[in-house]
Amino acid sequence: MAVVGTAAPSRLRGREYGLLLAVAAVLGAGGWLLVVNLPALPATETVRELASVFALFVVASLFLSWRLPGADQLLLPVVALLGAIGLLSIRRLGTTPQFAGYAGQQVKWMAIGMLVLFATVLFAPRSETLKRYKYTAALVGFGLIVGTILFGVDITAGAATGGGRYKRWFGFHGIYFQPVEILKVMIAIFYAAYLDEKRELLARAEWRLGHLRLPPFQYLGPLFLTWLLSLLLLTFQNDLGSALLFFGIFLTMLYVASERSSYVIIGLGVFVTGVILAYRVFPHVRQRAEIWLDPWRYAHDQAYQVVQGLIALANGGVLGSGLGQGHPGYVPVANTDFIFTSIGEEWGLAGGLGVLALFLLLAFRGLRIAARARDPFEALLATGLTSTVALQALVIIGGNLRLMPLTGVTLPFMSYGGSSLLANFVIIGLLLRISAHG
Amino acid sequence: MDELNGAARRLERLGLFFVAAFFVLSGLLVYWQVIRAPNLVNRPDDPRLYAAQLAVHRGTIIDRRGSRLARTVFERGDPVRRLTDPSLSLLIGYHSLRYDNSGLEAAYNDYLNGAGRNQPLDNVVRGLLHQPQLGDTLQLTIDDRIQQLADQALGDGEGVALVADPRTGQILAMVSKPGFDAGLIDQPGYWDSLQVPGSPLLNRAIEGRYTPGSIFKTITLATALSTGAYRLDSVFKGQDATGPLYVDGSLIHASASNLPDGVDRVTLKEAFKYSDNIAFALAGLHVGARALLDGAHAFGFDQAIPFDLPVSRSTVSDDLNGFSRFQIATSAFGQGTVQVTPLQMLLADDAVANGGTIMSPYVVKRITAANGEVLLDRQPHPWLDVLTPKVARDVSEAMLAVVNDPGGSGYLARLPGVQVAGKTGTAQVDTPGALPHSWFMAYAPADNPRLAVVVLKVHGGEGATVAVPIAAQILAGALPLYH
Repeated sequence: MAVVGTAAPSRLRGREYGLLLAVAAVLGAGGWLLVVNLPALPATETVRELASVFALFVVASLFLSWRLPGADQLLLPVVALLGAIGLLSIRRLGTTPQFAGYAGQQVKWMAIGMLVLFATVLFAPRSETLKRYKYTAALVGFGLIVGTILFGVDITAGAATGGGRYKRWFGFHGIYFQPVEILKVMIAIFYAAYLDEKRELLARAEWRLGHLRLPPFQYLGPLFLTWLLSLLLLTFQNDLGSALLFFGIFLTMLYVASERSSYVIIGLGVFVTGVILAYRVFPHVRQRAEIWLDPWRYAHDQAYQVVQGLIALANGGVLGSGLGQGHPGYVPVANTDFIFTSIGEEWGLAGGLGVLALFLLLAFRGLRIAARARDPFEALLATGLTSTVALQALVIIGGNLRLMPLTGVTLPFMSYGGSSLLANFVIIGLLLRISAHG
Repeated sequence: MDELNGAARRLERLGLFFVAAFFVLSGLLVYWQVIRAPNLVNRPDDPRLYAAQLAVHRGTIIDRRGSRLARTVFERGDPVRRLTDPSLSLLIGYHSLRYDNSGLEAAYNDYLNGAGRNQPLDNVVRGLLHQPQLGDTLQLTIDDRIQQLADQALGDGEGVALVADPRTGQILAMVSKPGFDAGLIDQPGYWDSLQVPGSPLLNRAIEGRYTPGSIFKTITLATALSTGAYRLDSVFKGQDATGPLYVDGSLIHASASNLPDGVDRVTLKEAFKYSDNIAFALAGLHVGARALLDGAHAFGFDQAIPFDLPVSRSTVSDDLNGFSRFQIATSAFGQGTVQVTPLQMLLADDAVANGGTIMSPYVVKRITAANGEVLLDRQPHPWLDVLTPKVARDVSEAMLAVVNDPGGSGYLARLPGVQVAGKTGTAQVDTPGALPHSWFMAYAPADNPRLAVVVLKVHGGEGATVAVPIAAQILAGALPLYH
């Protein structure tokens, strides 16, 4: 058991407490709106859920005061606010039968997530150990994916009609887990350790092909690994989002480790080549691209979600319809892939920009932690973990807004989903721990 | 130290990348929520449009006495439009999100869904409070008791029954058959079951055009008297009364005179009473095509009848250049090329009963907003001055004879204690083997008319034996109910 952080005499985390009060205000106002506007929702349940979430973050704050008083004071309130807005939206969607009952589950997952965060802070291996077991981490992550492909299940709507082609979940007694979420953390640890270890080599070694500076061979290992991983995800799980995400994490970490834009460009080239290949070879990838480029043509079948999401946003306008007064439930998967359009409809452009600002704030805070990290490995790890969250938000919101094809990744801390919450709380736990050294 | 600065610089650039990326997302969000929003919110595949409709508490439709005719009830949370009296389905129409609206539901949709321009403030306030928009209440001139009476009297089979107050133009009953039940319009399969030959969705009272047969003689008679060419006691004798009549080489058979055996001399009034086609053909030819057309026009033919719903035009001839003498002769007794809507014949009936003036027909009497404010309070007003009081009195006398004089074709309309005036019609149709249309137009009490009735049984047979008893039954039942 590794106890991290110098046991400073109980320092009050005043800024965090204050910001959590702001979260309480949002939860209170939101809860009041839900109770007033949606009499169909059970009021006591709503109040209990919202209060529980607030209590969770208060407990977390007290826990940090106890174990990591020096840790960053902005991360937890930002996460709490994102989680609060997400929960209000999920709770609000309870008026639509297909989305009913998820808010209670989400609160439970948040509670478990918080325990995982505590465990991460208390028991996560120290940096030296993490570095040593980097290949193990990568292997475990990979094994999980391959295992899912071989033995997993598809719990999407298509599965019921025999269309369960893309196995992304592990099922165990009615609890489903998405291993790709754990893989995010594993892969960030692996990249951080690998790039840190080879840093000296990487800085020097380099070979040229004409005018082009090519990355040293040492990079090719993880590059190939990432490429293979993305291809696996894309082919067997139709998971363009995660593929994009892993490549993005790799490239940001590579850039921060090497400061070679050319590597990033080459990496992007490799990715694009892979995507084009996939586009040529796999019909489902091609179809997805066509839907992305012209959703209006498919507005009633394959692009129904995207088009309905955009219609929801349009109905929200600048100030939104108001919490409980729109119809976010008309959009399919409104509590996961399309939670952002749910918020956009009822909280308006104002709320949507607010959510974007929160994610940007989270990214900045993460990068600040990286900049102040004790050693290069931790800096790289913090960069990778921060990028994971920020890029994932970019990918799914970008998919909602037609910046890129729609992918099935969750919006961190906001979408309904246990695996995603747990993984993201691990990330926050690690970031908090790294920040406590500063 | 240098390494550390390098790392900080790289992190700063990564941060800038995130700023740029989120800036792009923000721009896109503005694009979809503000710039493109106007096009997107009107897309027909936005279920919110449907929801907005559901959020309207659609106004109720009541009859002249206040009894509810159409209202919205909630069945398992879904609003369903229900009609108390399905025989009003064609007049009131259906209200369906799938098939849109028809009848008054369509014509007064803005009032019924509360979007009327007259009460914007209430609905804006309600909108802010997210309360459903309240529709206005429509009060009709219909008396549902008379409507049901007419519906039952008309019986099954294709036909129309219209009842009105000739003094005001208010429609008291409007039955058109075959009909349907507007309250079932959204039931699975119901709509498809209505898409059949025989058009149950056609309101025959105002949209159907039929050969009038002898009830058109009322208009010929009025025209003949108005021109001064004839008087009620003008005499037709011999072949002029009995036929046969040759017009431009075509024969109108002697049987068309409808005269009893031994009668070979009639006055114009008697010709009207017996429904003598020969005498009326001659009268028509004598006054001429121009006078006949002008006379019909004076009654509303070839004009847009002002009404709450669109009414088909009634016409004497589609092609005035090809209006031959034979056509003039046959049109004069309601055959030939004459095509009328039952409502047009009701207005002709009204004109006689009301001393020569046709009042604008209407069926929506009053519109009241949810807050009690009266948005529309329709008062009777004249539409056409058709006849001089003298001519109206003469035509009235002739119509009285049809029912009350010996040998009159409308004798089955005699009622105890009240005098009925009317005119029968038996319209021959071209369809081989088909029975003629049976018509009767009448009003009562003859001395001070308060009810006018038109009955049409399509392919029903003789006017005198089919339509007359139906009209008599309606009058007998309705007169005590309406004062």
